[in-house]
Amino acid sequence: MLVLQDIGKEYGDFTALKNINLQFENGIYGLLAPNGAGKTTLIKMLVTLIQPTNGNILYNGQPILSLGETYRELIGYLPQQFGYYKHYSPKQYLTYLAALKGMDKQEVDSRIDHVLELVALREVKDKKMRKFSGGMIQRVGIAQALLSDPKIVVLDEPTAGLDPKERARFRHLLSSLARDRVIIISTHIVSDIESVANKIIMIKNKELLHSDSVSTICSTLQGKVFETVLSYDDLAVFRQKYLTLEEKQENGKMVVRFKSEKQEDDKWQSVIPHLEDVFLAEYANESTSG
Amino acid sequence: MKSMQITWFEMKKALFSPTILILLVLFTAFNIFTIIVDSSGIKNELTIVNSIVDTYGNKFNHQTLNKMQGDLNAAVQSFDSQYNDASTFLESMSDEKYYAASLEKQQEIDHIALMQKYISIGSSLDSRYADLDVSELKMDSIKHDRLTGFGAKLIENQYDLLIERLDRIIETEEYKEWFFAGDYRMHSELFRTVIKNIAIQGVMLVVLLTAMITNYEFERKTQLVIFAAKKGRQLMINKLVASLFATLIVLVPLFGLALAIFFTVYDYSGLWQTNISSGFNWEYQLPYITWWPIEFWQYLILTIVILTGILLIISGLTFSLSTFIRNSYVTWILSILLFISMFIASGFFKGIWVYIAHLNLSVLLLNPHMYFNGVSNYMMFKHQEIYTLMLWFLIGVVFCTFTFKRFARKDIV
Repeated sequence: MLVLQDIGKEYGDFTALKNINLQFENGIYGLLAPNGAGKTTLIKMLVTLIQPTNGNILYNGQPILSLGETYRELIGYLPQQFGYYKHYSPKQYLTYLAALKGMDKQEVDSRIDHVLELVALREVKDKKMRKFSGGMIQRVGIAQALLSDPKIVVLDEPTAGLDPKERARFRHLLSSLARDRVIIISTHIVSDIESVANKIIMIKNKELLHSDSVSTICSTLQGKVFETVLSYDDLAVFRQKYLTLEEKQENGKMVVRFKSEKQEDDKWQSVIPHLEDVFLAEYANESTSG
Repeated sequence: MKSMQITWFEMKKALFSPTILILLVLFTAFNIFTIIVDSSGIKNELTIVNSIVDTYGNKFNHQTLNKMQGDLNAAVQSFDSQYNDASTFLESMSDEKYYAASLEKQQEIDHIALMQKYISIGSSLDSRYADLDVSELKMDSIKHDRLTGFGAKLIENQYDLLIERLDRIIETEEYKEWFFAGDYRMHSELFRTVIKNIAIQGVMLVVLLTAMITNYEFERKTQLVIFAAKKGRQLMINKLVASLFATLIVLVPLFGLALAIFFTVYDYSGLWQTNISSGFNWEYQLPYITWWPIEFWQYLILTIVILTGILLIISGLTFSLSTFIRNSYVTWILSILLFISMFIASGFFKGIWVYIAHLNLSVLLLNPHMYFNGVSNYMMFKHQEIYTLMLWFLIGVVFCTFTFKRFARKDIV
């Protein structure tokens, strides 16, 4: 079990994170937050790339920094910007990473074939990566994160650059892996995790906002999300008054999904809140990229 | 075993880099070109000393020189019955007479002239060594550097030891061994030109390959993947070891090819056992007075060992610097500037400090022709090479230890 106790990170006068308390058991965790909220900082602390200024990260009761290699060998990590060597083939790169991950030489070749098969890159395992598309590179990144069959998989924006078909395959892959390991996915694409995550973690103003199941988080907006039909002319005024969550054209009118504390009009139809609604409502005044 | 595999992966990052390979080829081509150009015109003349060694042995004395002179006079007589001694024959030789002779005869005349040259140098050495006045050098040095107190005493002691050593060389006739005549300056050609060039090229290569290995991940933005793996920041130890091994590997072709060509062009077959203190190796104002009898082959190996040691230390220091700069080419420029500054700075000190300032890697690397030599100004100290290497080895260890500790705590972003 991975536990974060009162974690904080400061860079001089700037506070990146504070008072983060979390607990990870086997399953998929979706880390949702806008740019600059500190999710990459949190992830880098989980993989020992940076050290918290306050608090402790414990794995089975032991601080991860003192566990060192024993902890890191359990980790599979895909950073937000996956760096690779253009003149290497996936096989060469994964062989090098296998050595750094301390894998047994005998099992390396078969594991490389296996993980490249999982991301549908086995056919090109000996091709130089300089010719690969962004999506293919990202899949190499996913393959390397799974290479050592890690117990804790940490993926920072894993679906960036993947096409819809690849995203679907990735979600299936996650579901099959999650049974006996911790999977932490940082993303701003709600649909990537909404259907597969056991728990969603949201950070706001450097602090933990939510750490709960999708349904519990969505229930915070229960009775506050509505849909209504408006003319184009009324939309501008409506936007000033209410937070719109979705707008779509239908039969020459606008169907608007929005948040309101109470039902102020009989024509409004109360709808079931989605995770995306919570995300948009919570971070209405912040950037949502990255 | 796994650690060795990782070290090899790190070494490959620099050893298979096109920049390193191209530089290695260019440097080697330059060295071979220099050796071949410098050898033109003299390499045939130089072979005579090997035939002297074959006929008369590696050492000589009055009897040897007398016998050689007798043999040469006899050769002159059989060449031209008008003459019965080589000196008279050579004095009478004018350009007109020389060019009127056949090519074969010209070669014989050249041979006689060269033999006479070696006999004359050999005969003059007793008086030249007897005229050497190291005490005067001692007084000049103390006066020039305005040494007083401890500094003056220290330098006086060194010169007193040097006087003892010179007396010993004269007493044992260590200087009476055959070598290429001093005016060919073959010691300088090998150690001051060829090997110094290799050493400078070595610095350029070693600094670059070390910076490449150290900064590879940060320059290609793979540091997050690499340092989050099980090996973690301990990878830096492999990187240092890889830099040191890669240094040794690039030095093999750099030294090997140039020296192979050098010893193919110049015939040293009879001279490997000749002492560096040989009177024939007297190139400039003063002869080489090594602190111990050192044969040519020993000097060559020790020089390569010292230069390799310097380059390994430079690799360690560059490794440390690279972790601050994080760009190979900027590190390269800065390291080379530091290296040049160290050399220039050594000349700015006064008094005894100028001697201490010469315990520096740049000075040691740029003067391979002066190793173990008692008459080498500020590099005159006995064991100077070992003191310099040990001092900088310790500095390197301190820097690298600091680097590891700093890197272990550093956030990787």
